[in-house]
Amino acid sequence: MKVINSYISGFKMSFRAMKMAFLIYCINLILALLVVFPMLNFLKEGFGYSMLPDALLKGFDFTSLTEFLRSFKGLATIIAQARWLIFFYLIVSIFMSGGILFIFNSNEKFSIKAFLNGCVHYFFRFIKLFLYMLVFNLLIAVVVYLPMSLIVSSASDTVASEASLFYIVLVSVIIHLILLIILQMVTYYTKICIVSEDSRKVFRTIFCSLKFVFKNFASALPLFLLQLIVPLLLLVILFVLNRAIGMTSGFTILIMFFIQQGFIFSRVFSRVWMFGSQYNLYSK
Amino acid sequence: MKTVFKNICLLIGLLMSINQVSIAQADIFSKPNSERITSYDMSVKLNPDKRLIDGDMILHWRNPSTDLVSELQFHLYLNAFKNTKSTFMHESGGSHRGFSLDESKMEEWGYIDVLSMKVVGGEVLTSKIVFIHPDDNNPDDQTVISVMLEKPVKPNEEIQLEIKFVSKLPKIFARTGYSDDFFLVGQWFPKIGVYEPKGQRYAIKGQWNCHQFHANSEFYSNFSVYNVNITLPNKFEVGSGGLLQSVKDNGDGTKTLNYRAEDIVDFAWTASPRFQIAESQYKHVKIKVLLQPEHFSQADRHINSAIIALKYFEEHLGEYPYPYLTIVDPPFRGMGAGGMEYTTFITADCLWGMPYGLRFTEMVTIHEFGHAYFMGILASNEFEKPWLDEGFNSYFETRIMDYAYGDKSSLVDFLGLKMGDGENTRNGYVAMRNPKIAENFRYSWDYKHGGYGNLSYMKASTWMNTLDNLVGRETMDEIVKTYYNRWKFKHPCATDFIAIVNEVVAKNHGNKFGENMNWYFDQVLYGTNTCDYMVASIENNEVISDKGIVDVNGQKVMLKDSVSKTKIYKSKVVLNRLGEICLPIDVLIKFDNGDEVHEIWDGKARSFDFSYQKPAKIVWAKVDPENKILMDVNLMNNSLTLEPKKSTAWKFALKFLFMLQNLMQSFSIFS
Repeated sequence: MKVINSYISGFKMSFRAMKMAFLIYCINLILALLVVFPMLNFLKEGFGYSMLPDALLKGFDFTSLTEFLRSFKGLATIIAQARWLIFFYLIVSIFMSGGILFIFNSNEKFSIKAFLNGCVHYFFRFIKLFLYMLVFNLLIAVVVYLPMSLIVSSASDTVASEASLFYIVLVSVIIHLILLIILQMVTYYTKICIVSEDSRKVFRTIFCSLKFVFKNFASALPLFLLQLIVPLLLLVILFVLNRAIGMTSGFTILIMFFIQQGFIFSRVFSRVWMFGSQYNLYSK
Repeated sequence: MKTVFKNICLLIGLLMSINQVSIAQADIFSKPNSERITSYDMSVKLNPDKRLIDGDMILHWRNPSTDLVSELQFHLYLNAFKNTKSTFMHESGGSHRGFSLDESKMEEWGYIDVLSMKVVGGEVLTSKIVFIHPDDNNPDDQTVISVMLEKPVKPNEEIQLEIKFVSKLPKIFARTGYSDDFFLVGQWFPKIGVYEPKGQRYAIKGQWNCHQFHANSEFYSNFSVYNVNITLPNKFEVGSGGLLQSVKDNGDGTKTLNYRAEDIVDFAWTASPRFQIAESQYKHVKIKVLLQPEHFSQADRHINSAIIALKYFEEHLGEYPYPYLTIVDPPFRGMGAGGMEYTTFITADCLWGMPYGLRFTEMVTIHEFGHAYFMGILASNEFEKPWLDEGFNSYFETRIMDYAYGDKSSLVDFLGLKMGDGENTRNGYVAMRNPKIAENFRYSWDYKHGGYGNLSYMKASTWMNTLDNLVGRETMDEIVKTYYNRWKFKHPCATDFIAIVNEVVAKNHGNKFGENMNWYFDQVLYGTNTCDYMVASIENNEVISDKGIVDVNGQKVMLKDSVSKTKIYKSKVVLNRLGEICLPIDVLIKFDNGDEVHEIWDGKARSFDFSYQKPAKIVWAKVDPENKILMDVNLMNNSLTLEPKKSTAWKFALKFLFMLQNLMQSFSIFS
């Protein structure tokens, strides 16, 4: 019941701060467009006046795609730009998570000023937290995949079937996923803890939230998993719509653009909602 | 006592003769399909723990020439895996298709020793065996031996040799050897070379054709008859390139299987206790698939694709003559044995859980089966002319795959991604960093700076598909059928095929393509040039009526403006030939009133234009609108439109936007 209550309360809080989610979505879109507009020009230039790319409008066409990629020189530049953008957005997200939690914690109505205040106020603490968590993430990866690669490399000289290797990798991925979920929960609750208690001692707070997570594991884990359901459902719907509508004409491209942007907004909203419900659980 | 002694002698003699493999075997074919220059009677015993094969064999060889032959040459291919000094190891760097052996382990190396060799009832030859190195003078290569005979073999005379040998199988990395208890026994016995009489292929005098084992090479052998006894522990399931005649339990935990094969060019076999067997029948052909247990659920993939290939070849080339086909599915750790062919015995590739939309198993099975025709029955020299087997076979592989599974999705049809086998094969050639690196007409080991695979498989397949498109499928089918019927169970070469192309094209198309098709082969087979045609520009200029003064009957008359309701345009399409290859090419031009004009350009000039004066403007033009010229290395410049569709660029930009936004949002979980 505690889980459902937190889930619903989190939704209400996030819904009230819909403008905040919209702001984050707009930042996501604007930043992405910085790379996509040059990409569009590259594409227009690359396609030029050739009719071959017309086949790509109808669907996937291997020959047209490979012919185009061979003559399209701008791809490496675009990928490099996209890589930097993703990293930059990661920093921006760290920055914004302070604002999100500040709004929830202060119980204020959303305003850009208050949001930015929160962003700035917690930024360095959250950066510190990010760096700690980066180390933990790397450690987890090493702890999971180093033994896995050792097992796989020795097993590949002894096992009769490749299926055994697949299962070794699958088990490792599942273990990694479980550890990743725990680490994610700890990260969220550390942030909540930092904001609600205005804690400056980040490393100590990590252990406090770790304690919280394990103490409330029966609620924290289901709540975390519950939060994943809506985005997954939306993903299925998107897949179905994409198959039904396709992107084969100007009109359907436009329709799919709106649907895709709706999906991105829902992902942003889900993240805000995640903060809201976990904040609720923590407060209780 | 005398009688008893006589009887005992008779019994011993009988037993020995059984041991020497003269078990009576039923003929497979009522009359020979080939010349059957050689015949091998072998008794071999596998020691699975030591990976050793002890063999006794009687070789029958008939001199097919009018020469007195006083030298015999043999392949001892397993010596390619004896040490790093062999030509194969030099060239391959110790790895093949990504697989390698552990050079520090003695048991992973392989070799073959001829323990004794003598003429039946005649001279002992063992001491006369010398290693020769006809290809590269590598004194350390031991893959070819020569033996001088005291008494030359006369024309059409048969010589019988008794040979004892021991073969140590290497760890599988290059299509032969062992992996745990899986054995793929190929290139494993002393195999006599091909004595080419004057006039056979390129021979200007009688000569041995017996090349060393190279990294980039396959084989060339006589059509032979094989009678083979294989003794090994009872637990092993066995498959071979022969037809099983009998199985005998030796009572000591071993069994002896007796196989017979006729009119094949090589004999290979496999054994493993893990094999599970799936069988099927297609007309007269019994298909036997020896599968790993974890792949057994995919037996239908092997069987169905083999049947598709059997049917297709039957319709387009000729009936598969053998009554059996063995398909081997190597284990994961023996995948170096995958994708190999021995006429009636092929190895495929399969992985546990491989989705049905990824048709690599089907593609490999169809490809390897195709070799039954291209090098198996049409026994070209794979060392010297790899395109004649790999190129031909890849061409048929793409035809069969695209026919059976759809030309845009025959190889991959998975999660919305689609790729045709023909498309992939063409791409393998046109996407080469340097498609001019070598011509197709060269020895397989002579691709010094790479390109063997892409050129002998993919380029050759691409130019054969282009030839198919140029002359038409009906003519192409007649060409390959004629080639098959004329050269089956013989050793054809390039000129034999070209002669048939010239003959059939002239019969069906007259002079449409010139006096003959040599110009085509000069460019695609013997040359390194590439093909690239381009629509360079489109021009539309309105015809404006003349103005000014003209003299009419001594009078100065002012020209009147012609008032015409319809505008007339002088239009022009400029075409460029960017590559060196010249091919006749179709051109399609579309006008804004809906008219389409089809033109044919001989494709020879560097630049050429088609001009029109019509009450309509040109909207677009395409060279090779039906994509016949698969050799064209750049299809982007094959068309030009004055009204490009903007939506394609938008579609990809928005897809990229969505993907990027998702990635940004996904990575933000670490924030």
